[in-house]
Amino acid sequence: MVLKVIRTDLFGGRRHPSSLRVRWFILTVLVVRGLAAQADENPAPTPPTESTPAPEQEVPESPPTEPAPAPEPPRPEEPAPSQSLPPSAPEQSPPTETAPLPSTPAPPAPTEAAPPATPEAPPSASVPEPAPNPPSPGDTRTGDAAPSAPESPASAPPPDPEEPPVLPQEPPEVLVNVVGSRPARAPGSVQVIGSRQLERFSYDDPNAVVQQVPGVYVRQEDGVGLRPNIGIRGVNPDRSKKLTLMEDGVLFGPAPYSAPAAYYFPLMARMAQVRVIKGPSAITYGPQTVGGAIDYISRPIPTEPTGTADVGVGQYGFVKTHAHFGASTDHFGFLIEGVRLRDGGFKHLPNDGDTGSTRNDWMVKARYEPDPFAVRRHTFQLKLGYADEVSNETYLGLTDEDFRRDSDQRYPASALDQMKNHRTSMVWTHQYDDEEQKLKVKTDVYRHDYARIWRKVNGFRGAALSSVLEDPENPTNAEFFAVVTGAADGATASDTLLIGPNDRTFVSQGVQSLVSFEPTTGPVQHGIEVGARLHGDSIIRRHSQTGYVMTDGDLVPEGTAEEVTTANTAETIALALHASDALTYHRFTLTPGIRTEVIWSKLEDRLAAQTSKRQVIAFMPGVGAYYAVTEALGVLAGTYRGFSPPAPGSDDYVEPEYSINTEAGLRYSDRPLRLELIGFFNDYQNLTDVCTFSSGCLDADLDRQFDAGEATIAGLEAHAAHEVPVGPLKLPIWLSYTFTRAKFDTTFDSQDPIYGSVQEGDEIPYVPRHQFGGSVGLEHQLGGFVAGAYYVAPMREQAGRQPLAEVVATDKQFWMDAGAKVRPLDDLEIYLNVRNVLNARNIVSRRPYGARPNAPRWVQLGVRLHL
Amino acid sequence: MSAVRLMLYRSLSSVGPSCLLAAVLAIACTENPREVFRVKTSPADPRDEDAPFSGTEDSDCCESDSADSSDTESLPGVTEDDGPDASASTGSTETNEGTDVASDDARDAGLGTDESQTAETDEANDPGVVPLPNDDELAVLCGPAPVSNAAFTQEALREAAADCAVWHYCRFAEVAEVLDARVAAHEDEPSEGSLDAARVAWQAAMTSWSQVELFQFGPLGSRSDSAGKDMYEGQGIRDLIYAWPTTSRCRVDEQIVTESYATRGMDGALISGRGLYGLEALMFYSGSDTACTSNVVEQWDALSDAERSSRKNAYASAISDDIVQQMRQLIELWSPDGGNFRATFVGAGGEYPDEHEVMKVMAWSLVYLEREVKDWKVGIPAGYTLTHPVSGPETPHALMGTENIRANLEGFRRLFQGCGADGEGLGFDDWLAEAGHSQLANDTIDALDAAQALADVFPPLHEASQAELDELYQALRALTSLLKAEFFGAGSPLNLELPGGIEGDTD
Repeated sequence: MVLKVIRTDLFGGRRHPSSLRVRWFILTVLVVRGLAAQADENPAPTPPTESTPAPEQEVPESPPTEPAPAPEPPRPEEPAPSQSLPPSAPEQSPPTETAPLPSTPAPPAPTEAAPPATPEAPPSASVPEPAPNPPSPGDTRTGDAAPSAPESPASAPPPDPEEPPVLPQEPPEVLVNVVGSRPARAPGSVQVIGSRQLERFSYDDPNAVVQQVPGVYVRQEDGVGLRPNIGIRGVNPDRSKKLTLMEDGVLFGPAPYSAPAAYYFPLMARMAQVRVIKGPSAITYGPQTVGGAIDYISRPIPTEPTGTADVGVGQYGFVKTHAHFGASTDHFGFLIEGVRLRDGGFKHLPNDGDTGSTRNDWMVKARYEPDPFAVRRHTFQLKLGYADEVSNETYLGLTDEDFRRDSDQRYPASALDQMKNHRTSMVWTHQYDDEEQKLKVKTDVYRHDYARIWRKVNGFRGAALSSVLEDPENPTNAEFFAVVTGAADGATASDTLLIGPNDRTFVSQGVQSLVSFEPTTGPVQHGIEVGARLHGDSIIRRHSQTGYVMTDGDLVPEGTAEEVTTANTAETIALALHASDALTYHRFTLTPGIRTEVIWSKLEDRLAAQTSKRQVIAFMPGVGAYYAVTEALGVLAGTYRGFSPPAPGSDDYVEPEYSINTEAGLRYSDRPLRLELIGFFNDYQNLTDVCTFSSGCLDADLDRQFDAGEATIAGLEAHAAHEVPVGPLKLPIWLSYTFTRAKFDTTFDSQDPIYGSVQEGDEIPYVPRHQFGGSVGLEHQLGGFVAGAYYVAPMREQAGRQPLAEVVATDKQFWMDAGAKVRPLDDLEIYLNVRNVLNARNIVSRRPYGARPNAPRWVQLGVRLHL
Repeated sequence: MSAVRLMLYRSLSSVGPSCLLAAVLAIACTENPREVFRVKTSPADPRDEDAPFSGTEDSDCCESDSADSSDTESLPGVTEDDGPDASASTGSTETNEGTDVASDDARDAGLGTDESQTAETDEANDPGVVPLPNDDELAVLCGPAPVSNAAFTQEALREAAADCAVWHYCRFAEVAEVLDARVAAHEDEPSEGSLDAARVAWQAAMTSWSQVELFQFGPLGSRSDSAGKDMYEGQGIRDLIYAWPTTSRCRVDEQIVTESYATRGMDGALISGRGLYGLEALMFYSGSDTACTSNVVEQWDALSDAERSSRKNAYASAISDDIVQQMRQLIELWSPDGGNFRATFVGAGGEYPDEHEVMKVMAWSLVYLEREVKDWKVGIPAGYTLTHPVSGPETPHALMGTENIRANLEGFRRLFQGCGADGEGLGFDDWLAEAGHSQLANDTIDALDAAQALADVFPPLHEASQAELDELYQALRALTSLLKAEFFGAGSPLNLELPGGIEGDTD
């Protein structure tokens, strides 16, 4: 076996080879020694020593006893192994300098007959070398990319010089730690979408990216993913408010505690990796732990001067401009990246108004290492970000009848709707690594400022838009429907359209720190993580609206004064602590942990001149276990307490959301094959719901929390990924299936129309019973092709138990995407993406006002130049 | 209207219909600049035309008084040649003599009196005019008020409420039949007398309907209204008969121009321009202008006066006929021989998920007093309600505001306390007593008595002073506060919740 190690920096960037040769060699030796030690049933790796001689090769090779392949220059823009090691939120295991080696105790060899490392053993040793040329379109694995090391170094055969090269060369592996363990040995479900898989389809829609992961549900809204609605394991997907959302381990939501609705999402083009964490591992992240967490890993700083320019064009005025450039020296490194997405919108207004959007997202990273060669090393990084958006998007959908006639039309009542927002972000990170002590301390100081103004039609003075569009034939609704469509002029105060900006200003800031170390107690290896975060966020709301009269198809100001409907400020200060220890004894790893959230929140209602305060203390214990049946096959199980904090200002009788989440399953990981089958059962003591406009709530109920009582959500997740070599080609395959059953165990009435009047036994809305996805590709070094197919069963749009055919539900959704790329030159890539190849048009949601379509068939063609 | 019923009416009727137009117009012209709610704004704004929140005086009556031929020519059924006469009759104080007769006529029909019912014409005694039924006649046609003496159960309460609702529907339907006949007669032979007769019938119908407003559950109710709705079995029939506050004279004018009701049926007419309001605009508004500002204006101006009058009469006839048809359908739906909704309602069947939901829907009918009456009818002119979807006062041309409120309160009593004239029979008060909250029941009835007593002596709404409006508003608030804070809500002894959209009101 050929062992290759790529030295990477702690923030994901690859170090300059010439400056790291010594340490690469050290690490290589350590890996080899570690493997050998495991073969000898000695799981403790040997600590590195400064006196280890350095190899001359740029990239560490196999042990000296093995013939070394010709060194291949790494592809700079490819994330190195530790790039995939996320910069690590303080609540996650920090990235290791040499991949996951230090972070996960090497498990003992299962048997004498299978002496070498377990599949997860010495990950760094099995990390492949980056491709010398632009790599294959991507990684087929959506799961963790735990390297398989089926053979010990000693037994690895030398490479056959006659053997045709397996192509294309893969980019570095995705290696992350979850609660002290790599994903392959994680006690819970962890899925990682690597850079290659991201590049295969080059999705700009965050919904499409995460929909590849089992157990993740999406309620589409605008067709392009401006404001994703993502749920995990049955939680309400509205504005992804029940998930913990992070970029590089730092919460990125505008105000994750005070207003968890995620009105900001980073552009996917900036991302090198997406991690989805479910199960007991979720207690490491917060504040939302009921469903899970998603961590988006941004592009790392490259080791060499590297850049990429990407220009794409497509139907509906689509223009994508994306460029990044970065470089490093021994002490310094930087990266600058910008993305601009523009489309003219696939919907059309009667007045031919613009329905499209323009989004810009800029990021600058700078890193400084005073002494990159020290055993005890400090690294500083500053990440600055700026993003803005102007989108002519609306909450107004269509009646079902109009949808079937022309799903892309928009009613003239939405002609003035427009969202404007901008965001600035700063994250300062310090990381301390003590390789001798296997101690890491990573600290982030962050602040995000976000402001948004969404002018949109909110309804009529005398009727709710949702009611009107649900039943336009109703005599009462017909009056208003005629005005919405412009068929009749406004003639009463009741049918005056209320349009106005919801102006919100957010601040999210804090400091978080994570300490991880890996001591050994007799035969037990530990992977201890202790994290703390002091976070504060706030939201200032000012919602207003003005009357507009539909006149000859145009919206004419009524002339009345602006009406302020909401004026309040919500603030939260939260202290989060967590600790866990991955205890490994032979084949068994037990990971107990606990998370604590202490939350002080305040809501000041300026209209009512009322202020309410609340304090919540929550404890979330959890435990997970993994047993390695064989090198590749493991059994996992775990349970933990899920938590979702109450909205600021909620009454004392409104309880936080608590659940007992349990899962168990099997995982087979023998690279490149990965299989996972996990069943889950979430038992909610008190399911909660926070009202938003996007779910159709009334102004008076906005951001109020409602208790939904007991509920149970159970399901099964299956996932398979493989890359089948076919001569000079590679056949990446990926499959995913989710079965979910979600029901309320309590009878209650909710002001949120998603729930409405709920009877015990009613099914929870927006949870598809079945969801399937899969893709297959054919890839060569000179190009490739990939096709994906997705199916989402109809979802009920309101709680109930009647058959779906008898209630309001989304359409059965089946669509296909395809991508192809050719590489006529080493540095030049031409790609073609076709979204929704079959042009399936479905009602994907009726929230908040009427039926919304998915995007139509959308052809996009681009050129990518690697510098 | 059936021939048998016509004969019955004629044989029983001792008092003919009266024309109240002159008095109506005279009252409406009374200047009261403070009351921006009760007089019309400039006709230039179509939505304010009937919703005089912002200013000027009611053009219909005042313009009539001015004896401007351009005003009188648009009176329905009164052509240009009739103009001067119509103007004279409507503006004359001599017609005050007929006020009592007309009021008695309406009162005899169990409809109470109104400040606007102050006129009578000689045509009232015209044997060709279909008489309005009085209480005795209605008792023959619909029976006496159904008073339930059963012991309280929730099912018995639903039964009592269902019977009371149907009884009210029947009484209104009988008056509507007369209204339809008189409007048809006016269409056939337009004259001042036939117009006045139709107006009187409309007033009687409006008063009767104001009691029905409190019984908006079942098919009468709306599934989409945020208050007082029946999201399970509502069919929105109420809005087809009376859609206030979603009313617009422009919508009526659109029908005059397009006549889409004639080509597409009444489905071609939006609710804001049909029903009782549509009739009111057609029969009581005397101006010749249109309330519309868009391209309808050009078509409107292209019509001759005679053509407009003819079209108005035809549309009025279509509306009144539609009201009758809607009521027949409603009664049919409730009838054991028809849709038998009564069994559905009493048995908590159909789309109702359980018994409690039926009780909740039924109780939500009481919320009409909180929103429509307290907040809109009184709260807006009194200055308490600043945010609302209301274009203008109820019955802006006939000026029956106070009378409507009186009838609303009476309807509330018949549902809350019992269907008897003085509240006898099963009502929500019995449910409260059964739940051990007799005090809340008594307090509610006391507050209702106080509000009713005040309403009974209340001046015409458009003439009320600020102090009088304040007093009435507070009286109503005392009643509805009990509803919101104790009858409904988190502490409700009956576990009843307020409908959405009610909690965040001006209180």
